[in-house]
Amino acid sequence: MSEEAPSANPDPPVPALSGLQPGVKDGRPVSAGNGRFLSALLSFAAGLAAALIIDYLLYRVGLPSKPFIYVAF
Amino acid sequence: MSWPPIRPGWFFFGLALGLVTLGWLGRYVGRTDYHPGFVRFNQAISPEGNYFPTVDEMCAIARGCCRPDQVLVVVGGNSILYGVWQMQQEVWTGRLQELLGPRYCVVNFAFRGAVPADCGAVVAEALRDDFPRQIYIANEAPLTGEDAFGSAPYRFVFWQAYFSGRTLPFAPRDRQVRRYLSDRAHWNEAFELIFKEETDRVLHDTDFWNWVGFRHFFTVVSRYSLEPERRFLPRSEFPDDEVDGNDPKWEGVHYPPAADALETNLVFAGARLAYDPTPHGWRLKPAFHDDMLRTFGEAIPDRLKARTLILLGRNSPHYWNLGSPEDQDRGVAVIRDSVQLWRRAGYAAIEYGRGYSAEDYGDRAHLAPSGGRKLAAEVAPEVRAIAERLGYFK
Repeated sequence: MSEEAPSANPDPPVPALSGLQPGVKDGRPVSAGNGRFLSALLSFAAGLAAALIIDYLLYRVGLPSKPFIYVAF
Repeated sequence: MSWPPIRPGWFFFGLALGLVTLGWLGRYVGRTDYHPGFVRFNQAISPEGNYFPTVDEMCAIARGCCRPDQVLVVVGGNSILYGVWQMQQEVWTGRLQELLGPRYCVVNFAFRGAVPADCGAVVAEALRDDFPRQIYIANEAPLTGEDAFGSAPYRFVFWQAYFSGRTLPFAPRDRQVRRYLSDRAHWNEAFELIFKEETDRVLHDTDFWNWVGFRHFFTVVSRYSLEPERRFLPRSEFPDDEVDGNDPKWEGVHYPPAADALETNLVFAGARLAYDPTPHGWRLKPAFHDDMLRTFGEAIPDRLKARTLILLGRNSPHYWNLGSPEDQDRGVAVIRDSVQLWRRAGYAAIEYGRGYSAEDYGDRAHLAPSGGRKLAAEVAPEVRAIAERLGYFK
């Protein structure tokens, strides 16, 4: 087994970011700033979606479970 | 992990902002009249279609229809006042509006199977400060009374107003409500109610989703959404499907011979239990008398009784004429006594239907358009008399 030679052009060092690692897109590194922005955007959108779902569920749980069928006497 | 994870701060910020925005939107649309050209709550926009109009929604309709210089006439009650057998362009409340003229504004908040204390009564009570010059009209079967906080299918309207503090303090009704909610059999319902009404008071979710369901797409399954292509149609696209009871094509439907015995029994059976024969005619049994007087007295808050008109109707002559002379005699006493009891309880009350023909009815109790016109002609002078008595035009 041949030992792999160390790369002549190693990846640039990973910056220490709070919980975020830079991604790679189209073969090019995505900056940590973009990652943070995407993360915040995604989190915010998820929060909005959760609000919509909660609001809808609150509406639905308030509806009677049995249908009202009118019968005239 | 290459994809950015959820960041709790942003997530909860989005959640809070979303709920606040939806709450604001619900509050906004709830106070906007989004039922242009409103005539009545047809079946697609009533509990029968799994659509539950809110107090705010109904108040917005009334505000949208009625100018401050008009006397607001709210019509509540059941399917008879709703106008079963009357297409919406010929519904009796339209005729009533014509007869009363521009000084009055008639709004039809009657629902099928509702009682005098249901929806229309609650909305009129909630609007008592916005429209202090108002008249409430409802109907009830003779010798019949219900809880002061309405009937079960439509009680959601009362609960909305009650939990948001829009009902008047009224000791008999408050006592009934406390007794109902503290009954162990209703604890689950009470818990759900309090949770639902408190969240709705803050988030206005029912108002928001009613608006979405009426204007954009409806998400709740009902008999109106059984066909896949109509599954999500907004309720504004469903026509009022009431038919014209005077149209000859329905002739064989009004009084099916097979139903004669049952319907005639419905007209007369209740009175047989409640009346005693005396040498001077039929006399309502004291127990029934006292119970009815108490029930009628507790139906509407005292402050609002004087502006309330209760209509008590005769059934179709088709069935009336099938009764025995004794049944008919007693039937006359039933309506006469019911009118007197409602009056003694503090309301205006009249009998309608005297002299109507079988063709004026679509079935035993509901009026065809010709009957509706006669009803409007009987009600209009009473409405004017109440307005006069209460000094609405001084």
